[in-house]
Amino acid sequence: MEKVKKYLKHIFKTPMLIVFIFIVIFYGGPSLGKDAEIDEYAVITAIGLDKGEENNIDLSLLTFVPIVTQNFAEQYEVVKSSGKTLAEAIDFAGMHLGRLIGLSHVKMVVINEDFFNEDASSELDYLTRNTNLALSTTIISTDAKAFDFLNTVKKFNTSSSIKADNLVEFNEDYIYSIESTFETFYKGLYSPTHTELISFISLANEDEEGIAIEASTQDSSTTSSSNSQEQTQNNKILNDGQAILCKDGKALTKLSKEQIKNINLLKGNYSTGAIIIDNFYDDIFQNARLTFDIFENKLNYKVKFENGIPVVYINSKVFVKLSEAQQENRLIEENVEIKNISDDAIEALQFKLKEYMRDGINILRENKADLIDLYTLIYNSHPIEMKRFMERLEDKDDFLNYVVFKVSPQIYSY
Amino acid sequence: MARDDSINIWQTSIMIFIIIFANKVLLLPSLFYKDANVEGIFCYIILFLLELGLIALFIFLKKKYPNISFASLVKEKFGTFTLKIIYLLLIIFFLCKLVLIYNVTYIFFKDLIYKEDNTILFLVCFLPIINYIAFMGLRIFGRTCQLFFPVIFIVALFCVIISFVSIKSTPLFFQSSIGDILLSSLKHISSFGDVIFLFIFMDKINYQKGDGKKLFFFALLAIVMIVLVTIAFYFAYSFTSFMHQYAIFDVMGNIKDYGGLGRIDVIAVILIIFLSYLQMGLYLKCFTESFYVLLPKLHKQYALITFDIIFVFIVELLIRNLENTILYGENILPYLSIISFVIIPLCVTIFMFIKKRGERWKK
Repeated sequence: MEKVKKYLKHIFKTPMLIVFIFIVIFYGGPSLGKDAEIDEYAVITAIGLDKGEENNIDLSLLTFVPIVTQNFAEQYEVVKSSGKTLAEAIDFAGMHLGRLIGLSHVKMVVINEDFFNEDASSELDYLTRNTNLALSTTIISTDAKAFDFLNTVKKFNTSSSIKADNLVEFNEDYIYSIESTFETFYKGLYSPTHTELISFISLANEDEEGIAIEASTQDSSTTSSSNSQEQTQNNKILNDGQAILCKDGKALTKLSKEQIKNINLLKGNYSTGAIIIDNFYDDIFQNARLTFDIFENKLNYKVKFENGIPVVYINSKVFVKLSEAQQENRLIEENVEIKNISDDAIEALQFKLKEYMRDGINILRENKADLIDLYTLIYNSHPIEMKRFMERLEDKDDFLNYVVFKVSPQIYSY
Repeated sequence: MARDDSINIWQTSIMIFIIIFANKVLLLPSLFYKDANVEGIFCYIILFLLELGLIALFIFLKKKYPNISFASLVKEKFGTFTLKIIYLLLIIFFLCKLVLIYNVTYIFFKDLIYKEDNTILFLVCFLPIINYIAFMGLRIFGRTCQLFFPVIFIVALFCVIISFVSIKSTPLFFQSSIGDILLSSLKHISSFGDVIFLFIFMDKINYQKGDGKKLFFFALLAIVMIVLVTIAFYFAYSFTSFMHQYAIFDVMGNIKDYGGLGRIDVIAVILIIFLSYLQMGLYLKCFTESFYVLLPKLHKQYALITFDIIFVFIVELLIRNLENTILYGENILPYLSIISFVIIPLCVTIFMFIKKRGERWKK
């Protein structure tokens, strides 16, 4: 008894212990008796947006469905709802699911290209501000219905270890594609020239390029859901490097992977890509097709003003490796020495790169889109001259057409 | 001076580091960007110069009056009435600053982790601990800071280094005028002036010749680290810097799968937990000390109870979301900074002047 008294005295002399006991009693008990979060919230991993009837927004939500299975397959369902605004559509989707909508796990937002033909920034703004979506969430535009797209994604996610959002995760590493997230979208939108690129992914037929996962027999995607459908069994997801060029959230044009490659050569932020030279002749090769792998592209921009006009010098150090040589009637042994790139090959490669970079500049000029943020570069190096130069222009968006570019790629071989 | 309640210069320097670094790398960089773009970095420099000025004033005062408390000095030179007025203002200052710091921390954790939890849980987690910190002796607090400092410093340094990995773009310079910079500095002046705690515990700091360098070194260390994180933040997010409210967390989160570690932004969360507890604890300690000067007959517990009641009332009724917190921090608190940047420096200057005049008269 004495010991207990002593112990109690000790407890009351230690205020933090009392706080601990308080927390355990008042929060520990109720927390143990609480429902699992998964019963309260629907875990959404992807959102799809389509234009509906009467200007409504059709919302599709790829929902994770926790089911006990003997394999490790994750089960998903697509839930569709429609509302006058996005907020209303999300509420309706929650009602369909009988749960609150939890968007913290969303990794991908698929938007039908119709939104970008008008102005998608209001929908994206709602998602960013009101639902605490991470700014690193991927944005994808598609020509298919976002609902169909998510149904294909559902099959994909359920039956394979590759998740659909992984398909664009490493886009920025390839010379043919771009990074497309909320962050990159807003960075472009709030940049001085308000231009941004959105990754474009289409659904292809079975016999075309792309990736598809056949539904396995254990796939429980046939689990009934009032709003889910199974219409897209044969569709493939095709990430072909295409992108929508937007200005102020509105689509201007669609760029192909070749055009993206030309622009990326001016940006330099990629780690893999290939340049092909056809009909090449030198001491080793006769009418050959040479493929060079690009490992690195170190770009150095210098700006000078000549007679009030900015001249941009783009010095590009391109590190390449001749990785493939195709030519008729030659044995492979004769191509052992392909690592040694001849001066002729370097010259040809230089010419090709110049051509690509020139095309890239032309794309920027034609679309009045400063995708490489040249405005910032010129302004930061010569603020007063740049201000004067811009004041003289009638159409300030068209400033790239008056900038002189001097491109000099230098080739370094491994 | 009771030996048990005194702190050495290392502990004081560590407290300076903690109080300067804490909560200046969360909301401030994005708020500065909103008003002054990349030139927001100059706002930091201007306000930190004022902060360093306060440290310099403290050192001058400490050299002149090594064993006298600030309250005794005020009482001696200006009388009891002025003493009570100044310490009442200090109480209001520390209370209001605590409300701001608490709200910034609360919103940070609510946005990122405890989305569904109510304010009461957060109060239960924070209030008892900062009350306990304020209740225990200054020496114990100094030792606690000393104990945690290596962890805090290493984690902070890690965050600073890693933040430079996230740099991807170049922001647009020369967009703001001097007016924008000064206006932004004035709007957010309330987030500075933290080293005022030195004056509150003036008689309890063991100061010897040459110790001023240590104080300045730790202050500059914190300042350099804050400026580096802010530079990295502006270069990482450039045009979208105003959208990212939690700078140190966001620069860490911007690094994709760094070294296979995945989400290393959690490290920034740990740092903010440590810093918030210690900073709030120190502020509450300053509040209780000022309360004791104002009402010397009342015990420490009364100061804490008074604080808890007013604090819960303000937090629960007035400030609950980010917009209100920013409104409060930008529109109400700057007026209170008159205490830290005008009244206290003015008092110190008068103390120095009076003594000099007195000496001349004696001669």
